[in-house]
Amino acid sequence: MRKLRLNDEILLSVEKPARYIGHEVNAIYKDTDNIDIRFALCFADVYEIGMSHLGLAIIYDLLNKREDTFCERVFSPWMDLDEKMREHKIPLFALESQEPIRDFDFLGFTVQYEMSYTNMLSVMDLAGIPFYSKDRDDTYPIICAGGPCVYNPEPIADFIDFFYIGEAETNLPTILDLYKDMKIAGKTKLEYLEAIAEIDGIYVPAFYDVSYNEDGTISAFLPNNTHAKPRIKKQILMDVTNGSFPEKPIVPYIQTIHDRVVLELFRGCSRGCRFCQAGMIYRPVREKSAQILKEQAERLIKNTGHDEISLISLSSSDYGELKEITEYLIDTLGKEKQVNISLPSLRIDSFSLELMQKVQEVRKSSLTFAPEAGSQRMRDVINKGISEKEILDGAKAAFSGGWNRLKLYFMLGLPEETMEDVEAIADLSHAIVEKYYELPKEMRPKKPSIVVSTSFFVPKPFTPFQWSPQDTAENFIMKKGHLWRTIDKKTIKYNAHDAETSVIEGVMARGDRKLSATIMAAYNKGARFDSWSEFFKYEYWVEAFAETGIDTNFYTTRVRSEDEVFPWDFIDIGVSKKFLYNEYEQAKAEELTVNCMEGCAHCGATIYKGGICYVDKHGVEKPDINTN
Amino acid sequence: MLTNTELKSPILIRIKFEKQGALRFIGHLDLMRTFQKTFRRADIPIAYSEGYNPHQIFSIASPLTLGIGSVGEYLDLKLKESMDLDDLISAINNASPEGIKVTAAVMLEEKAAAGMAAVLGASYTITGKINDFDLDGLLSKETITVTKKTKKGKLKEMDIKPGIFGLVHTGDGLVMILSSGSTFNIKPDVVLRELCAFINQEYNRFDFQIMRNDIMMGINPYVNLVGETVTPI
Ligand code: SF4
Repeated sequence: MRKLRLNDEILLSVEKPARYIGHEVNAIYKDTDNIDIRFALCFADVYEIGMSHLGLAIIYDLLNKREDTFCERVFSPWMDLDEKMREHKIPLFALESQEPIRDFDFLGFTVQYEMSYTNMLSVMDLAGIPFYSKDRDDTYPIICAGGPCVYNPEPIADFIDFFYIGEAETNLPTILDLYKDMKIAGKTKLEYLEAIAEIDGIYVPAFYDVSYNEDGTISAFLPNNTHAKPRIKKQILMDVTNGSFPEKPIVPYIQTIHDRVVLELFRGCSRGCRFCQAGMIYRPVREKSAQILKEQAERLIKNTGHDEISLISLSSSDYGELKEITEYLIDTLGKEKQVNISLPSLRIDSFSLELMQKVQEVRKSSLTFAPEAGSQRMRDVINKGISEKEILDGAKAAFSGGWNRLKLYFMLGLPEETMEDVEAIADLSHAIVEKYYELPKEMRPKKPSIVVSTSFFVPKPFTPFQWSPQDTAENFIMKKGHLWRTIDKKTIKYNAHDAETSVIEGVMARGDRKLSATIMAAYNKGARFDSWSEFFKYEYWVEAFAETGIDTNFYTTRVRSEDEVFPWDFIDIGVSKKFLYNEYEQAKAEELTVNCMEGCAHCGATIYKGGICYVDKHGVEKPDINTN
Repeated sequence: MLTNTELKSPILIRIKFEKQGALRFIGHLDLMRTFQKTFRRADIPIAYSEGYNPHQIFSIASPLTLGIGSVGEYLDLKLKESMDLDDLISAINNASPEGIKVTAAVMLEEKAAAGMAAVLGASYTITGKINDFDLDGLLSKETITVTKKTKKGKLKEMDIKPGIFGLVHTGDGLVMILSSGSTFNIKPDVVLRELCAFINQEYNRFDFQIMRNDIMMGINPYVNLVGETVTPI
C-alpha cells in the first residue's frame, strides 16, 4: 500500500478526504528512481472541478506515455484543508506519489478562468515556492502555464517562468526532451529558458520589456533577450484524428462535475460568434474521424466502467457525422452495456431533438437554449446566426417532443445594447412559454419549468469585441433589475450572475503586467477561490486595486482605439487583428458574417494549412481556397 | 449453500472483500459507485433492475465508518447468467483499485439474501495505545452506561455491556466482538472511550488503528456471512 501524505486525523477532519488520496483506477504510478522529469500538473481549483476537465486528462496521458517523465496531479486543497496545511506546515503534494511538489522539475498550471489566479498563488504558497519568477533560484521547479487564459498571459506574467500558447500535443514533448538533455548537461534555468524561447508557442515573459504611454496604454513590447521571438505563434494539433488521446482516463471515487467519459468531436468552432473567445483562438475547426471516435468510445467504456459517454465540442450540431455516430453508439454501447449517450452543445432544432429523443428515450433531461441575446438586432450584432423563428420552432418542437424543462442563456451588457434589447430577453422568454400553451392540451408535457439565466458580458482578447468597452457594474445591476421586473415570474425562474465578479474578470481578461502586483495584493489580503461565491470577497480586490494604483475602468469600460497596442498583441493566433477589427465594425453595423461551413471570411487561419479552411464538414475539399 | 453445479436463475452471490489503505477514506456511496464501475470493467454479467433507470442489483452489508479498514466486508449481487466463482473473484480483483480485494464468494439461496438484515455482530482488531487497558476491570462492572445521541438529537443513556460479546488481548492487538446491525449497534470507538475512562487515560481516537475483521450473522457459534467460523482469538 502506497503512503499517504496526510494522517488519519487530518483526513477525517476534512470534507471529502478522497480528494487527497489519489489511488484511483487508471492513475499512473512510476518508480521515481527511474524517472528524469517530475511534472506536477495543476488545475488550481478543487478536485471535482479539475478532474472534470478533459485538457488535464489529455496532458496527463501525453506526458505519462513518456518513459522518462512522471506526471502527477495537483489540485487546490479545499478551504478546510488549506487552513490545516498552513497550521501544520504541511507542504502541498502531488496526488500520485504524495510527495511535495517543491522538489519537482516542473509545476505546470492549466489556466481555465481568470478567477483562479489567486488559487495559483495559493498553490505556490502551500508548496513553499516563491511567487515571483525573479525570486526563484534554480532549485525550484520551473513554473509554466497554458490553457485558454494564457492567450493573454500578461496579468500573471511576473509569476510564471514560461507560457505555452496553444495545444500541448505539438511542442510540449519537445520542451521536455530539451529539458532532459540540458539537465544532464548541467545547464542553468536561464539557459534552458533561452533555449525553449526559440521554440514556437513558448513565451518567456522575463525576456520582454513593456513600455507605456502617458495614458497607460502600451507603447512598445520588445524582446530584451536575443533568444526571444518578437511574435509567439499559437500551437495547434492539426491531425486530431491521430493525435494522442487518453483512452484510460482516471476514474474518480467521488462524484465530480461530470461523472462520465468524454470524446471530442472536433476542436474549434465555425460559427464565428463575435463575443466568443474559444471560437477565435481554436481556429480553424479540425474534425476527428467518426471511425476513430467509435473505437475510442468502446475502449473508454471498457477501461473506466463509466455508464455515460458525452460527445463534446463547441457546437456539436455542426459535426458532419453526428447522426451516424450517435446511432452507432446507441446500438452498440447503449443496447449492450446500458451506456447513456449525452450530447451537450446542440442547437435546438428538429434534427437534434430527434437525436436526443433517441439517446434518452424515456428519461427527459432539461434542454439548454443559448440565444445569448433577446432581440434579433442584438443577435446580429454578435453574429449568433439564429433567427427568432428558429428559436421558437425549436421550443415548440421541444415541448411537443415531451420536454418540459428548458434552460435559456442570455448575456447582459453586450456592445450596443439598449434597454429595449434587455426587454427583448423577457419578450423572447415569454414567447417561448407561449409555445407551450399553443400546443393542444393533450399534447403538452407536464407544467413547463423555464429557467432564464443571464451572465454579464466580459469582452475577451482575440475577439472582435476586444475593442469594446465593458458595461459598468452599475449598468449591469440596473439591467438585471429591469429584466427581473419585466420577466413573468409566475412562469419563469430568473437567475443572474454577480456583477462584481464580472468586473474583476473584465480587468484580468484584458489586463496587462501591472496586474501581477494587484493579484499578489489581493491574495495577501485573503482572496482565494474567487470563482466560488461563498468565498469571493469584492473588498479584497477593491483594496488591492487601490494599493497598487489600478483604475479598473482603464481595463473595463474604457473605449479603445483601433490602433491601440494590446498586451496580448504579440501572440499570433492565426486570425488577424485586421479581421477582428473588421468584424467589430460589422457588429456595429449589425451585419452578419458568413460562417466557415458556408464559406470563408478570410480570417487568416489558413496559415495552419488544414482543417475546415481546406475541407468542408462533409470531407469535401473547398474549391476557392487560394483566394484566401 | 448451493454448489457451483446447482445453478438456478436468478443467481445470487455473496462476496467477502477487504477495504484497506487509502480506500478507508472512501465513503459508502462512493464505494457503491466504485463497485458499479468495477463490475462493468470486469464484464461481470450482473443483473439490472427494470424500469426507467436500470441499475445493477447488489447491496453491501453494514456500511463501514470512514477511516476504518476491514478484511471482512460483504456484498450480495445478482447475476443474469452463471459464472465460475473463482473466475468471478479474479475478474473483480483484476479490475479493482488497490485496497479492495475479494477473498471469498459463495452462491446463495434466494432467501438467504435477507442475511444482510440478520447481521448481529462484528469483530474488530485495535492496535495503538492499548497496552494499559483493564479489560476484566471494565467487564466486571455491572453496567457500562454511555450517553448516545438519538436520531432526533436527544441524549439517551444506554448500557452497552450486553452488546460486548468478546474483549481479548491477542498477539495482533485488542480484539472486540460487538453487537452490530440495525437493532443494537455498538461502534468500537465507544468501547475504546470507556476503556480509556476506566484507567483515566485520555481518549484520542487517533491513538488507535481500527480494523474490522468480520461481520457475523449469529454470535454463537461465531459464523460469518459466508459461513466461515470466526473465533475471537
Ligand atoms: S480562413 Fe476562412 S474557413 Fe478558415 S477559419 Fe478563417 S474564416 Fe474559417
